[in-house]
Amino acid sequence: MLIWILVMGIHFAVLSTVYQMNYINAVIDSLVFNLLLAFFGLVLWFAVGFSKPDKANLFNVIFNHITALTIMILIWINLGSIIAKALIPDQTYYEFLAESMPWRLISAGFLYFIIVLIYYLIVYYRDLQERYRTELKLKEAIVEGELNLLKSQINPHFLFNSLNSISSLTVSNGEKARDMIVKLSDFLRYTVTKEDTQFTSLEKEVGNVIRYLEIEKIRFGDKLKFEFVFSNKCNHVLIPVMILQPLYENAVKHGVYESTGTVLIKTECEIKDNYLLILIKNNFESDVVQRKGAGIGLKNIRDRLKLIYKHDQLLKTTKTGDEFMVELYIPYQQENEKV
Amino acid sequence: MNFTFHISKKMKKFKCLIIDDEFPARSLVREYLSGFDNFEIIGEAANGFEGVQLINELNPDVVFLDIQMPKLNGFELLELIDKDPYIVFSTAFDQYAIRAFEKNAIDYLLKPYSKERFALAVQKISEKELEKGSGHEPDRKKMMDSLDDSSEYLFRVAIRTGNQIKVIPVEAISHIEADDDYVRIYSDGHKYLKEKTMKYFENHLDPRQFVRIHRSAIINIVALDKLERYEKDSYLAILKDQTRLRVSANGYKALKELLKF
Repeated sequence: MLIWILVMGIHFAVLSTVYQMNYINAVIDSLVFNLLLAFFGLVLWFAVGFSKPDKANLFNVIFNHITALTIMILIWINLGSIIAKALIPDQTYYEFLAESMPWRLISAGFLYFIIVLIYYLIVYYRDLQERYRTELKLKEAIVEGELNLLKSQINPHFLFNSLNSISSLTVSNGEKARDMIVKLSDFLRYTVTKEDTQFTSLEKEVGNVIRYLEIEKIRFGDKLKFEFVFSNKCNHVLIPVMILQPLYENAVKHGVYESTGTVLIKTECEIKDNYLLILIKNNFESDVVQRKGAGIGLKNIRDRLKLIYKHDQLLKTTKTGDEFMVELYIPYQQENEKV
Repeated sequence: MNFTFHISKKMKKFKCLIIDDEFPARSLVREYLSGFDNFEIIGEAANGFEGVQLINELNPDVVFLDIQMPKLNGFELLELIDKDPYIVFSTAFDQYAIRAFEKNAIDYLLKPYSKERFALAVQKISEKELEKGSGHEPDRKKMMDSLDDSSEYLFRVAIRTGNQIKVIPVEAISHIEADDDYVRIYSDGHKYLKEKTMKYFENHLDPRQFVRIHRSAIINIVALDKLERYEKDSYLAILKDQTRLRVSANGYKALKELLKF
């Protein structure tokens, strides 16, 4: 708005001083042409402001603007002249109008250029801010997701009870206590540093699971037994990091934590067609009344598998009598050949 | 410290029971307790069932009680004993329980705990025992009721029948009737007595499944067969097992709301 008043002022000043035109005529001329131009400028805003600057290609944009400019200036000059002539019935003014045409064309083109430039600046700025905001939101979401992931992976019950066991062992069996501290540290380290990599060998992942089970075994003694039957071929197959851990935590939570007798967790592994098949079975006491879990652990694994392998039938669970069985299929992929 | 010495000299020996499903956790209590001459350990239990049995048999003065245990947790165990020992809870991580403890100033130990913290709990018991003479009786029932503030709905109910302990999933309860200081819980054609209030069950059973239809009855919506007009503005609920129960005006309104008829 202010800019337009300024432009009109300059236009008027130029007419009245350089061309020695009378004031009224100069004012009318300035008002007619500049108001028209301002109106076109406004129309232009709708064209520019609502277009997506990064989606159109540059050539098209330039071509469109040249076309728009030509059409606009033609209309502007003709319309302006008609109105101005109607308002100022003066021969000398007509002559002046005809004379000043080239100047008018040039200044209109220049103004058009500036207007479009300003518009684009506004659009880009708006876009940039929006992008910045969405990026910030995205970052927050990612951090939150990671936190939840961590929370769900280090079960506080497990952690504090393990520490309590260590506290107890320091007196009765110092060496065993140290052993457990080392195991717990290794376990935590694996859990905390896993973010760097997506995949790891089955051997390493199972190594961590065994550490976890050994820690639980110190707490529960003979109540927990585990067995791994693996062929050597399986050891170097790549699997997503921390994909197995929640399955064993589930087995311990629903089996060992809730039973008074012995629970055996048995794991078998084989390569079948183009898949690595991991079979985890555990018995549980069927007379236990348990709160129905939300199944978040299993759902997380399914979601992850689907994200990585674009396949949603890779995890199967079956419950029969007093046995729970998990079948996990991992598309075959050797170490040193990443997806 | 002169004070504690004074107490311990005057005190009888406290008979203690340790109930925890983890062996190392029990040894830790044993070890910490060995420093106190007036506390002696008379037994240990590795789960809630054994715990109930031992408490009722041995009548201990103090019970060190873990909360998370298989089949019967520490709170459920408390509901099933007739004795009134001092209870020192322990837990590793249980937000609901800890909140309840803090609100009710009951002593509890967060695992892992230090020798000093343990000594404080033991000292508290000695002090309470002194107060006992002057009329401040510890009241297990009151403590339990205040623990019931937990915001989670029940998913099972522990009941003692003779020498047996039964744990019933709430889905299997057809209805509950008031019976003086007790409630009668009906499940699978059996009837069980439990020392709890109707109010407690009304608050702790999922209201999407259980409705208090009368001052004296709560029903599982799944067990309801039909409603029959009894008098003007008065109804009878007839359950699938042919039990007939009065429905109050409020009860009728609640049923109507839930079943949307």
